[in-house]
Amino acid sequence: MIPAAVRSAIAEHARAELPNEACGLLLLDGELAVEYVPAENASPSPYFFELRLDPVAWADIGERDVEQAIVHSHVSSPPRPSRTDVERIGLWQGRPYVIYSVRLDELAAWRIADGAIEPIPLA
Amino acid sequence: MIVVRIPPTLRGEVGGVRQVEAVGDSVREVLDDLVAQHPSLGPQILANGGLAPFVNVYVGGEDVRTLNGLDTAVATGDTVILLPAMAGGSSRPWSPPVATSVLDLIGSTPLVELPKLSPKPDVRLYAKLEGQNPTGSIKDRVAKAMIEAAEASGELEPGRALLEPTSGNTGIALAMIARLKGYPLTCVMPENATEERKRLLRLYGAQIVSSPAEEGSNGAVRLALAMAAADPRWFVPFQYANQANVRAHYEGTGAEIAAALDRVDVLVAGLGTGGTLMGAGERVRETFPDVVVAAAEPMPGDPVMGLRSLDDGYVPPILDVTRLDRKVLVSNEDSVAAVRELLRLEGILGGVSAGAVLHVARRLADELDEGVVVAVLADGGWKYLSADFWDAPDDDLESSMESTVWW
Repeated sequence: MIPAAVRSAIAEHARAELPNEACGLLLLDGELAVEYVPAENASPSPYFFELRLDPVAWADIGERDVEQAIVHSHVSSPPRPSRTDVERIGLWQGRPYVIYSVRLDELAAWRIADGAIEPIPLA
Repeated sequence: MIVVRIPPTLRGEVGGVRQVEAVGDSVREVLDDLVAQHPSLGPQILANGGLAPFVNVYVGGEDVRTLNGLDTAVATGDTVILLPAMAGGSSRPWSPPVATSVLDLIGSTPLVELPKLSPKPDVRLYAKLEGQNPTGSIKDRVAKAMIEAAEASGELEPGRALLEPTSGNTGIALAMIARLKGYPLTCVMPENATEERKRLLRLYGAQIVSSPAEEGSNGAVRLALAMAAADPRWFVPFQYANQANVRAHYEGTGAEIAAALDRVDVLVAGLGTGGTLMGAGERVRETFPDVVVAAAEPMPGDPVMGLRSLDDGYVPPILDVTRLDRKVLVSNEDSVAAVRELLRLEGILGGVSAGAVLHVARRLADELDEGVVVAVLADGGWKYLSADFWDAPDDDLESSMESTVWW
């Protein structure tokens, strides 16, 4: 589940990045989202994101006992993985992938693996 | 010895550890050593002699792609960080596919709100801009539907020629489509039709036969029907009686309006052949059963170009007046005043009949407290540029706003 404070951190970051997409990391303790880490969109665009985070900081997060989810915003389309998202899932195959739609103010979580998209229910 | 920090996404390939020690003087040598220790890492981090697309490699906090790539030097004590390269994004907005013919560009015209022309803030007034069709009018839909229906039924086949009485737009649309499909077209029109119209028709490839000016468009209809009766070579689509005209508006104009809006209280179109009112009216009524389908009809003896007064003695066979909820008479003066306002306030250059429709749409909008009014504007003003009214002083156009309402 994603507590209201974490959700609003994602929403605020996404709105602050308008008109471009925003991205970041969501840290999960089991099923509970505990922290949102905003990242930089290294290819600022309303239709694209390229996540950039300080590599040492990100590697340090990788040493913590938390699971990570990639988060990015869709400016106006629904929070479903786009073809671009599926094509670029790369090493994140099968891991939690969260999309926030700014226009709809909707958050949804997914797993993308081998081209298939599977929703993760959010409590 | 170089420490390589492994992200959680790749730990499955290295037995779950968080870092691996490797040797080498360059990133390439370090990664090669890493892959030698853990072969299943290979395809994840290296591809075609370079870095795999979905991994980023950092030395001293810098992305090696911005340094010397795999040739970036490393020395004992350095830390190499591997991280997922994450990118993605929403799909771009839908954009129309590239058309294979201008015929594919007929229809799907834009709807635009006219907030400055709505008489009340809670009544939304929309215009469907039929002037955006390829030859510049709503008649592209009708011409295409009539020709393709006749081809499908076998009535129209190579060797036949088209003949149509037309005040202009239908002729221009038929001429464009007939030429692309290889049929000659002759248009019958009153001899006082504007030179611009005739020129445009000839440019699109039509022949012109003139009918007496004093008989108006009814005279053109009579002459065309007489010519067709005398020579079976002619195929007369005859938009006034052709159900394909109605169908074009049912399947096109009306369906597009019904799909684009979540509410329609009033639909206004000009009374010409009746095709728009019957076809689009019927389709919009299916989705919004309480819609008021309203005709803008010119006052008897005060013709509005492109529209038809039923008082002039000809009721198009496709027109069933019982399917009209309202019929509002509009003067030429009111039409012209409205078309000038449309240009001044909303930046849309409409044709004269668009002014008539808009005038009626505003009147009916004024009767509502809130709701949605759609005006179908049949063409743009480009073909009427030589008309004097564009420049006349406003005083001469002062609108009484007292058009006769018949029912």
